[in-house]
Amino acid sequence: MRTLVTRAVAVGLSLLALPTFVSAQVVDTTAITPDFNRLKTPESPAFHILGISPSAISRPTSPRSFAFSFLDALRGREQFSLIPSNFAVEVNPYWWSSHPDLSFEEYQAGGIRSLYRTLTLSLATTDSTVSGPDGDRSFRRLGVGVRGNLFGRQQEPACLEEIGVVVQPLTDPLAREVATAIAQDPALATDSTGLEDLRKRTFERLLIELPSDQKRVLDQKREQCTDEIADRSGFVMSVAAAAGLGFLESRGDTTVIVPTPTGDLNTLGFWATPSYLSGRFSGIGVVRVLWEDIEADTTEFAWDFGGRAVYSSGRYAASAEALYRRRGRGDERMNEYRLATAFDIRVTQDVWLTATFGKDFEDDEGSGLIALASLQWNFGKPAPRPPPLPGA
Amino acid sequence: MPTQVADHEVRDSVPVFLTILIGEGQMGFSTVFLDQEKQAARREVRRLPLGDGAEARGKVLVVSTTVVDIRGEHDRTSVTVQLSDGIEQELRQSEDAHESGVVNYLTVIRFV
Repeated sequence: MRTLVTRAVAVGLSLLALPTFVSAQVVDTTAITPDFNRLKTPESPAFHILGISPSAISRPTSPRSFAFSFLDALRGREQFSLIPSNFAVEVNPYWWSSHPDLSFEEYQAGGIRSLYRTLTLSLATTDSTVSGPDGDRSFRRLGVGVRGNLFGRQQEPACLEEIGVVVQPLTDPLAREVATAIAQDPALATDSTGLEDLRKRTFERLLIELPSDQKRVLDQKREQCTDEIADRSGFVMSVAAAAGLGFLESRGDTTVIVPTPTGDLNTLGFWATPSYLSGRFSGIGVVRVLWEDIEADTTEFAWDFGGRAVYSSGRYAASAEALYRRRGRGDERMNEYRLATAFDIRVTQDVWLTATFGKDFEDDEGSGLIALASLQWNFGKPAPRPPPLPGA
Repeated sequence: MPTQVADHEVRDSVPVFLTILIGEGQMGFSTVFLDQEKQAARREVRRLPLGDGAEARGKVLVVSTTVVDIRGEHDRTSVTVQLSDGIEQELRQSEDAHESGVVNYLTVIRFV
């Protein structure tokens, strides 16, 4: 073990000596470190509870498009079923309706309203097989999940001002030209069609005349703004819950709806992650519970409680994690813990080199000490890693 | 149609204020002219004084607002122009932002 630790330290030190081929930058709040992000609440709890990462996720923005999306999934099946196979959908019902009174500032103010404004519902289906006394059983699983974020007042993103540098000069001449045209022809003030023609013509001309670098800035900053709004800082608490249900079973060569779902409610998950996210110091607390009863004679559960703190400077980060886990399988009960420290170097925007030391949950083979160096990818969102299952 | 015209009846001694609300959680920039005189050019216009009724009567208010779609959840935009002088008048327009990601709105109000 000592040799392993020595090697890991050597690898860690050699990483520190890497040439600076990425520019130093302030670590943003969403790409803190992969290990930090892994503790976050899953983005789509329904997919997480089924342990799937759908390649195509439907995100309808209205009830109508949701209905079309669902019917389209049903149509793809050879045999009619109320539960389509391999269906993945995620919706944010708050934005299904119009909110003309909701200003950007009010949205960014956060508070209790942020919980329902950010509420997403996810739904997914997948086909599973479990072994039982009567042989393998195939059944369709349906996962349903809900997730919301509670956050405090957000700082104004810098991109707004940068967008203004491009957009305000479009708005000013248009207003001036309209005011001048009305001064010359007062009847125009009541002619909505004539004014619309003038507005459209002038705005299109201003957009065409906009220098290409300004257009590029506008596109880039819009994208940046969208990301910055989604990447919240300060106090952020995510809460999610999900349930997995079994609905169908295989009979011979066909899959049919059974009168009583064979799986019933077979998986439940709950996650709560209060966090404080900033440029230098961030901390996250974790409470997560998973219960699974797919196989009737072995009910499994696990709950985790703990947290992680990370201090980052430029492309370097150091963090500490403590997690307590109680898990059970059938009549067995186990208490475990994980204590780890990690040192990370950001190699590129999404890639981190990590050296981790400490003790992991699994101690079946000896002390359970961790000493490893790894290359990790971070995409600003929690990795689609399955929840902590007993014995996993 | 992102252009709207209206009349607003003013009262001599009552000051008129203008508020521009950009909705749907989006952001935008506005320029306000009263006749040919620029009153404001900025992101937030809240209770901008336009003078009292006697001063404003006969003038034309021109509000040009460009909304930038910065939301990942949807591409709706809306602008509400509110005049307040004891009696509230509200003019609301909404459009979807498409490829360019910007929507320009024009509101013209005659003070009578």
